[in-house]
Amino acid sequence: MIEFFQEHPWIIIALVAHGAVLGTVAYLILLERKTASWVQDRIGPNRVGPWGLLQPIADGLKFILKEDYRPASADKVLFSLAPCLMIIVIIISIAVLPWGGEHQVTRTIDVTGQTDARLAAISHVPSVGVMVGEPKIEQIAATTDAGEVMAPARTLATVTYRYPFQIAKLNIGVLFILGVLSLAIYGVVLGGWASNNKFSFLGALRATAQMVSYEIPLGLSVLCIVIMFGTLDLGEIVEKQVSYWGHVIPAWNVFTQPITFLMFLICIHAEANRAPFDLAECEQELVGGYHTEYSSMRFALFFLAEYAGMITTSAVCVALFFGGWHIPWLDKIWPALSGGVDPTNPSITTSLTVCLIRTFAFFTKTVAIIFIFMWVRWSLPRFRFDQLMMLAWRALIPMSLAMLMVTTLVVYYFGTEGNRAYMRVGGKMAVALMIGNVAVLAGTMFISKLLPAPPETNRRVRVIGSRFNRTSVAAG
Amino acid sequence: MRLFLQLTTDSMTVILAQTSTELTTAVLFYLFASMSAAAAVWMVLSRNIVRTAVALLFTLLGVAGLYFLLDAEFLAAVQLVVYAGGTLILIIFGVMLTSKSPYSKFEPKLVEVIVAVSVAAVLFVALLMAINNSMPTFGTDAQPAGARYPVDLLGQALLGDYLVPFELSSVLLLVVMIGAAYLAKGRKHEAPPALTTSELSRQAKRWS
Repeated sequence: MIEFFQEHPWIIIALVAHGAVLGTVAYLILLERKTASWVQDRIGPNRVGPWGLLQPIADGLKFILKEDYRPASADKVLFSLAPCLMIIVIIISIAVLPWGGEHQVTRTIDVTGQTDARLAAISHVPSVGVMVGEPKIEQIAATTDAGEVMAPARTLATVTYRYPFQIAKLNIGVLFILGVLSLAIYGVVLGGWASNNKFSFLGALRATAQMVSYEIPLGLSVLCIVIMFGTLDLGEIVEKQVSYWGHVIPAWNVFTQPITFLMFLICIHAEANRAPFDLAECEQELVGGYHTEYSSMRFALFFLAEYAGMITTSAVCVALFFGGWHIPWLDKIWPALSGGVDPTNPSITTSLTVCLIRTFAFFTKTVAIIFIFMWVRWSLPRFRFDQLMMLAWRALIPMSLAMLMVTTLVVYYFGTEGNRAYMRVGGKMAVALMIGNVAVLAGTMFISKLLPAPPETNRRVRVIGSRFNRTSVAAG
Repeated sequence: MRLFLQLTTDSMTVILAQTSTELTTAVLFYLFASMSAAAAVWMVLSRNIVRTAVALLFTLLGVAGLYFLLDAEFLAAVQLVVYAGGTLILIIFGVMLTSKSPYSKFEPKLVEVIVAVSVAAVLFVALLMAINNSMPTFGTDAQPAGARYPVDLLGQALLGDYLVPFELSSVLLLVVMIGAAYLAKGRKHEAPPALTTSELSRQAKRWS
């Protein structure tokens, strides 16, 4: 069995990663409640277990024991399908997150009695792995002692291969995540429609409009990073951020593309349907929005999907802008953390421990981004719907187009020549990008002064008694 | 007992090793293909407009899965983004245009059924003939393992050899978008003229 997992490492990574992500969701809910209480100067859940640490288990039990209610006039098929679709989509999107770079393994395999020793050795390389060099085949003669065979003759093959320390390495990883996550909205829309409740349906429609608007700046801001590195593979994007400018500043994209990072962060907030973008559920107006009619485990699935989606999008954010598994400065002391095998590709490591440490670093950064989500949620009031649309169409889309132009120009003039496979952001290019960012910011501030004022959406009714009529005060 | 365990794990290893790639591919192929086909049937038979759109979504998802199995990852992802993502708008249209009753159903007339069936039959025959004429020889020209379709080659082809069709289709899309925005904008609501101070005071007198 151990051999099986050595040859199919992605199976065990998939099991552990999904278990970890879904387990973390439970504790994220606890963190959310604690964050809310800290923001509101309360204590938060502290009854179940020490510091309320067992609260998630109590919550889960409660969900299971609740009545599984379904309105009589709901569309039965779609009502059940909606939460399933949402959670399936989110779980699939975990597959391409680059947790720990690449692991290089050297194994010695006994291939005695095989007709073709080389082929037999190659068949032990994992299907997701790439062989490094040719397998070394070694004949060990039988040891005999006074005509008696002590050990039979054996053939040993030493094969070296590397496999990505992630579930699936797709060369279009970013595009895959964008495509799959854009399907999560179906859960909201179908759930809202199938409930046959006007509040649910209004929530679903709002979610759709929001999604359609914020997908554009999201895609464009991802495109900026993709153009910088010339690859859609998340693992490669991470690997190319593992270096330093002037031996001190880690070459993370957040320093070269701060505006893009902010836009990406705003868009993933909108994608997660959380405050200040939670118009789809908006308790004060729509009861509970699209999940008004859901209870018990179906509601729990929606909840789970929201938090798991946060983990995925935050992990993509970490991979795109915060160097993924890169632990800054520590790899100066312990060089094995950033490669050591191949100087051109720091993601390759021979140690499984290093892979696990990197995964831990990646996950810690992800949780830090998620904390920003919670912090924002409990600090900012909700947008009005026209403000939401204006932010996307009048601010984010033009700015992301401008950033795309700037990035393209910088890559064209300062892009590293030569071998494209090892393209990194050099110091000169980084400075050019920072200047470009400042220029875009200054240009935006200048142009926003010239733009006509946003249309007045609340029509002011100038009748007596209206709060827009000052004379009413005088007359009263 | 220990021998038994040893035997079980050994045989398990052998079975699992044999079942690895090819069987997985076959199982996944039949899974995605049957999902596509079943959803297509559901789409045709369903009378509810939203359910029809959802069935279409599952058909497209199954096709995307087949693309993944064929290592055409870029095509698969684009299928997800463009087609599967675009079905959302279809659902919204379906819901908003038929908003009179929440569960409005298709009730096609006999003429519509006949026209639809005959058009579908013609298309199906054309498809069969096309497949028959250009029957690929399966399994002979399998691509070498690990050969992928690099995205950068695709991009270079789009912006190099096929620049003119690419740009033309982009311009077409832009025209459509501008036209849609123009139609959607419609006539401006004319804001009521702001009242002058004298009118306001007159109003105030009338109301007080």
